[in-house]
Amino acid sequence: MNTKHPVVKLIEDIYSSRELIATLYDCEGEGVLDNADPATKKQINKLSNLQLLISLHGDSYYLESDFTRLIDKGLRQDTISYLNSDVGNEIKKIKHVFDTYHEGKIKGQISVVRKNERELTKLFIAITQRFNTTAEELFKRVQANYGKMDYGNDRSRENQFYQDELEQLKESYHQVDKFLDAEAFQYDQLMINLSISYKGRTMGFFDKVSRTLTLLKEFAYRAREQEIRTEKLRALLDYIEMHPTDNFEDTENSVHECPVFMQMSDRMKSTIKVNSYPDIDNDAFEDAYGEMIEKIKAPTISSEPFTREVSRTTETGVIKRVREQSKADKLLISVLKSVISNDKPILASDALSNLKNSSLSLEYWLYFLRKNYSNNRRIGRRKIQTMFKIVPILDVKEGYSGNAVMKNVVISPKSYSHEAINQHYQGQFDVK
Amino acid sequence: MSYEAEIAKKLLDAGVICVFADHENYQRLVQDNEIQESVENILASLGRKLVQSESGNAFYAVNAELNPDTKKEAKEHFRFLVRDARYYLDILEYFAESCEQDIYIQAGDKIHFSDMARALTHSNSLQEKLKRLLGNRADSDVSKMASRLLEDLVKSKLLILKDPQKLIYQFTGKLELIQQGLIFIVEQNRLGMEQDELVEGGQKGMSL
Repeated sequence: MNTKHPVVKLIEDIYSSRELIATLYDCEGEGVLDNADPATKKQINKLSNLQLLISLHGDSYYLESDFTRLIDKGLRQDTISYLNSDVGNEIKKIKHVFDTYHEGKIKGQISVVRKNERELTKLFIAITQRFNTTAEELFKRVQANYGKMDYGNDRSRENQFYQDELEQLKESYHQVDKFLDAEAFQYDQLMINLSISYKGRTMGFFDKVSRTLTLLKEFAYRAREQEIRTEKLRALLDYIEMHPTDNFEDTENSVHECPVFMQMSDRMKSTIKVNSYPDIDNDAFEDAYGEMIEKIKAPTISSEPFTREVSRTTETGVIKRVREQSKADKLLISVLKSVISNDKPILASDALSNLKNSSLSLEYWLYFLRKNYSNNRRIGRRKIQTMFKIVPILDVKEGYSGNAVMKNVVISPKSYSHEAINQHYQGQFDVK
Repeated sequence: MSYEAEIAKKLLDAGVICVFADHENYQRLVQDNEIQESVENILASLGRKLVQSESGNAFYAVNAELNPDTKKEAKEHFRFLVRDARYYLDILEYFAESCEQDIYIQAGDKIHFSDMARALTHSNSLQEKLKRLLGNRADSDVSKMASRLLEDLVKSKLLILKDPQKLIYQFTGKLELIQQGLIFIVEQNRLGMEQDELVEGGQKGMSL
């Protein structure tokens, strides 16, 4: 006995429910199938068993998402590609009918001429409509794609597909145009008339093509903008990884220039939590909000006597920093010399403890090292980054931009890989 | 409650009215001048003003006056963002990798839970990133971890559950504001701009 292949059976089941599937596909989500007749109920059960239809509640259903995606994918290939793949055949058909019509004219076969005249007119109307409807369809889909307002890979791929289709569509149009310019048609009044009406009727085609192109360009521009934003945000991520303790204090004084920071954060106490509702048409509005407005607008007047706090910058603080800088500078050069001569890594804290009678703090020494390294300072004529590697050892803590603080630094020759450093310190720090 | 009152209430409560999460109120603000004017009046009476995000897809309220108090509040807001900058950037990296795309996700992008779980199952790197994001709430079950992250983002109003049946989530206009704030830091500090040029310029005086 011949048994059906399961795939054939599946396709037949889907085919028998085609109207139902199309209805649910058009719903773009949940579709209500109330008062379904027995045949429709049977189809619903069949599709549900195949897990192509998901029941929500009562008579609400939706198509399974993978199935919807498959339909989406298939639909994208229909009308647009169809015209492009078939335009060559259309041209051949026109040419063939024209040849028969021309031959009939020469031989004086009136019935053949009339029949082929009608056929040519039909072919021209058909190709005109196909260009117009394809351009319209393409525009609609690009518009829908544009309206989705996301710029992920799927959307980009879809847009690229439309862009390719548009190019092919234009190419097909020019192919027909070039074909109609052939010398053979120049002396035949019917062909001249058909060509003129074809060009007149496809005026809308160019309008649609240019509007589609505008949307595609706009999309590409917006996608590029997001690319630039991504590059900037990645630069920030890199910076935070390199400078985990930087809290951008220098930027604080200009943050009011960015409207985002002028918004009340929902974590701040000063956010106005409104429990009653402002209604400016209601007389009660002022009463309900009076207290709140007073609180916000009234300057805070202290009853305490006014005392001025004087900030003093002592000279000794400045001198201390200059001395630290000078010591750190000397230490840096001696450490780098020793790293080169020994060809071995050294811990910043060990280098500091080797320094006799040092009042240099470890925090400042680490800061000085990182600053000089990230600025790629020159020692002699060579840049520091070409000779050495400075690897921070982090301690993860809450409350910092990078949630980590630098507890030490490994200064190593450039030739040392992270694995070699880990091996040297026997996995003590797990440098990554 | 009138529409104006409803919108003003959300904005005063540090809310963001965006086309994705609050489509109806967004349309009211965009299409109805009277409603927009009324909202602006309410906000003005409380020292606030209405602002639209760079893309135009979101509205939010800011302090109308620039004075020492509002500057101080702006600084406080800035510090919150700096403190969480690493977390937000890790989130952006995570979803870019999860969606297999180079560019970061942005407001309006949709996340299918099934796609996210599938990507997680096949990628150790994503699992590690997710574990780091969840900290001590990480789990061996990737599906549970994915749910936790999405729940966290819904709680912080960065994400909405767009389709509860199909578990499709969508990023809100709040993400755009966070990105805008982070980009402000990048631009102010000229990060990622021609490192060599900056180094050369800054180091002339320091060469030995």
